[in-house]
Amino acid sequence: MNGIRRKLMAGSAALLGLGLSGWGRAQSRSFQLGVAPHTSARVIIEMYQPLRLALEKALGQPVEVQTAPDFNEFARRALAQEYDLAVTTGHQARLMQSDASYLPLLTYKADFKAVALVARDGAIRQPRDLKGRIALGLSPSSLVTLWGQHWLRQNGINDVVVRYVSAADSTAQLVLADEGAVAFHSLANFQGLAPEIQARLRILAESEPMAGRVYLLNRREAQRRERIEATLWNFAASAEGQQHFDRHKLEGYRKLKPRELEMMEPFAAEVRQILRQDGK
Amino acid sequence: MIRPWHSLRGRLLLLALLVEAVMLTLLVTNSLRLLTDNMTEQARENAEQIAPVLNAALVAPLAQRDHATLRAVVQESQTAQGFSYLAVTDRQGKVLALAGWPEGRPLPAADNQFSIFKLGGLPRYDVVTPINLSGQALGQLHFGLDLSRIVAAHGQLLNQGVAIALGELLLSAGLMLLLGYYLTRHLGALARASEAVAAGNLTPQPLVEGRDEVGRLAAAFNAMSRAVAERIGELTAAHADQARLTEEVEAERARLAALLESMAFGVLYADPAGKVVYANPAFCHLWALPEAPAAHTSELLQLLGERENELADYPALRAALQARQEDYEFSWRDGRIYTLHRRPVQDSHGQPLGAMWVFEDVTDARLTAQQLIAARDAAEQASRAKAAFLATMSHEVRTPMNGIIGMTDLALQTELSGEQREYLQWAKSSAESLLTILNDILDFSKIEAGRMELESVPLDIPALLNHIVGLFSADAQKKGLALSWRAEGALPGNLAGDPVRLRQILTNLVSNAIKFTASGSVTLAVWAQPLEGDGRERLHFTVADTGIGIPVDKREHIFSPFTQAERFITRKFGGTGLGLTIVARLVELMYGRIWLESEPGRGTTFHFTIGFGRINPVRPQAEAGEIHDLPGARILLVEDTPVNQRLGQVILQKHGYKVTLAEDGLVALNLLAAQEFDLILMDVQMPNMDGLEATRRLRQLEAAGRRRTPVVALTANALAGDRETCLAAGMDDFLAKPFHADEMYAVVGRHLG
Repeated sequence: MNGIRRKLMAGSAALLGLGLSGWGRAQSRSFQLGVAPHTSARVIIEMYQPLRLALEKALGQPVEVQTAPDFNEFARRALAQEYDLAVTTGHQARLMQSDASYLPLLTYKADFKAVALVARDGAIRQPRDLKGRIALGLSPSSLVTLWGQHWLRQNGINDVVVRYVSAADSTAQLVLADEGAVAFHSLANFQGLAPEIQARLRILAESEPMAGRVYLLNRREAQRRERIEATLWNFAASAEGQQHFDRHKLEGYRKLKPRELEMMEPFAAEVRQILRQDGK
Repeated sequence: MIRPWHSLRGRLLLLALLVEAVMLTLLVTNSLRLLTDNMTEQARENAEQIAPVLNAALVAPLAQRDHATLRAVVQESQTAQGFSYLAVTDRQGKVLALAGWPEGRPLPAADNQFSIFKLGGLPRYDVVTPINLSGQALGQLHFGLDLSRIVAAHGQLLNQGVAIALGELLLSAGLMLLLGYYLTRHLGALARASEAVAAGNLTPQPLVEGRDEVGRLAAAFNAMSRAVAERIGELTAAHADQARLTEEVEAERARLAALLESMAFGVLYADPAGKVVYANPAFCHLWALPEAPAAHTSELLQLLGERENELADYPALRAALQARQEDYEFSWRDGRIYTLHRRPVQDSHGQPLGAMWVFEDVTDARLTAQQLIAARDAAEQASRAKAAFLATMSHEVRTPMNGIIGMTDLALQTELSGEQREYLQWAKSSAESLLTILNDILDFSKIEAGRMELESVPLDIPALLNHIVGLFSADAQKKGLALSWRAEGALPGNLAGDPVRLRQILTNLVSNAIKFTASGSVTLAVWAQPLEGDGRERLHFTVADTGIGIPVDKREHIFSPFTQAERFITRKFGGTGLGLTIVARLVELMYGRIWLESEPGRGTTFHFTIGFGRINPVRPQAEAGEIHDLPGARILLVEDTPVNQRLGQVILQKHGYKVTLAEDGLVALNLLAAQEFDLILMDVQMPNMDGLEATRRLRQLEAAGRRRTPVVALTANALAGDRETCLAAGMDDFLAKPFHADEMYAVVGRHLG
């Protein structure tokens, strides 16, 4: 009995210690808002400043927006519980939900589609023209890149070499420079390109709408989920939020559809596989 | 020995070095300040510029938590940008990237101000700047700007500036020493020369001169030294001159004293107040003074007044002395005659010192002079008598000669036997020779007596030469000689001279030339000579013959009276030997000279020049000899000599003139009162009333209304003054006796035409 009591007391003390330490850490460190590197770090930091301010105001603690050098690194950091609140593509959200217990919260109303871009005046007129050519993607684990590779395989094109670059606008420029025959982009990023660039590009293929950027809350913040979720919705309803959505053509938040993340499992599995290979 | 800083050179050197040191210090300090300010400003600007650049480079890796990239950026920036260290920390201060700074060592705080001289530290500027993006603080950038280059440059510039300044000071000091030595060595020489002058050496060695101030000062000193030397020389010379002059004055005084004491003139000198200062022994002797008066003791008038009773007219002498008459002559009662000459005595500035009187006993001189005056008067009387004799001789000889020659001519014009004609021709020739001799003697006598007077009437040289050649052409032709004249070049017109005497000169020379030339030619030539100072037109005449010539030893006597080349010539050719003498005298009287060139056996050329006056152009008179006969004209011949009455009557009547005779002037006036005449020929010397008086009275009558009748003088007086006398009396022309019939016809025709 004493032994059980000592174990319980020790366990309680440990839990209390964990809880206290977690609370203390939450109070001392800043709230980390991790955003997947779907574009340049500067754009991401700037883009999420209104939300950061709203969160800081609501949570009463400093909020830092951060990103990662690439999707793999973002995934690794997310899996390492570095983010309190993460904004990432559907397949990584699925991975973080399944492998790191992140709690999915919501996503943007605007459809997220991937597109295959070729030069408008180039030789690529149909998918088979890509045989033996070079394709450009953001990262091996990015959703648009994974979609592109899937699209190539569905079109029976297996001998395309995929090269990865750091930023979405860079892939479009490389296609125009004939450094690659096709670039896999999100439709939103394509629409964010300069009009003269867009005019010189042509969409060879376009995906079905997918869960683009999903907000996930670290499980250690589960007790503040409602508050955080309410902050998000309040932000969406605020003028700053509307301005944020309008500027980035995100249209607002919406709740996730049932099984919307589970449908990303094939892409999540590929990411898991990639991370595993990188870990070796 | 003066101390270095007491000399001009030392003071200049110290002053120049002090000024230069101050200026160099200012220069180096200012350069350091400018360099430091400039480099500091550059460093500050560099820091201000580099921070945003690093910020921009660090934003993305910070946002991505890409620490590897962060470190790479920091390390590359630290090595490339001249930072001492570079570090990036997160918001909590945790070092995310570090370069150039030891691990674990706290990063330095930011410097409040930029300073390259940090006490006790490395030359570094510490900066801490936040890294923000869109308002989100991502971290902090720490870097230390390396200022060691600025400090090193500062130190290098300081060291080099100080070194250059020291070198400059040393160089300047050297140059100033050299310059000071160069400048002051002349000053030193000048000072030494001045000291030498002060010590008595007034002519020190000359200083080196130059164009700069010191050189000019040396030149001025040299000039001053030379001037001093010259003045000393001049003073010495003046002193010597003064001594010499003193000696000369003393000698002169001695000579003057000896002169005054030895001279026969009485010399007295008185001061301006009239006090006698000096009297020489001769004065004492002349005035019979026992001894010379003492200087300044007695007055001149008082001294001379003591002899008042012995003087013939003392008051006059006293008055002359008081009137300061310069020259005065007075007499003594004993017959002595004295002269006095007063001369004022003045110093070199014209100030009166007194007066000097010179007394001379001129008794003997006056007596001699009186004798000479008497002799002169006697000589003049004799001369007048001689002249009167000559005039009388002239008149008295010519009058019968006129009758002889005229009557002989008339006789020759009558019907004669050959023997009678020959005898008469010999008689005429002898009479003409006698007349020539007579004329020569009269001319020579007049010239020697200084009574030869020349006319000055218009001359026509070509006409005169034509006349000469015409006159002798018959004689030349007889001897087969060529006689001619020529003018070389243009002859001046409007000449005035004595045509009678010029004709006499030429006649004599041409006559001689024909006489002494057996064959060949006789040539006259004339040309004008350049004007001389006397303003006279001068003509050069030559008479050249090809005759016997004149031996050299005879030429100098050829113009002497009574001389001919050879006595046999006289015998052979005749003549008085006075012709050339008269010619030479006439030429001299006519402002000319005569000479000859001769070669015995080849001929002789006589040269003579004549100076003529100039007159205003006059209307040419009728040519001499141009006869205008007027038969039946009434002529009154007034002549007292019967033979000449007859001669004139015959000559005139031969040309059909009606001749009325009058014995003297009175008879002539009576005849003129009764009847009219066309012409009057009037002898000059006549009894009762001479021709001159008769003419004057006639002219008076004509002035009252009587018709004017021309009067021609007939006179045996050949003197030139007679013509003027006749013309002055109112006569119109002049005919000298003896005359030829043609001459009478010419004169008569001239006045009747």
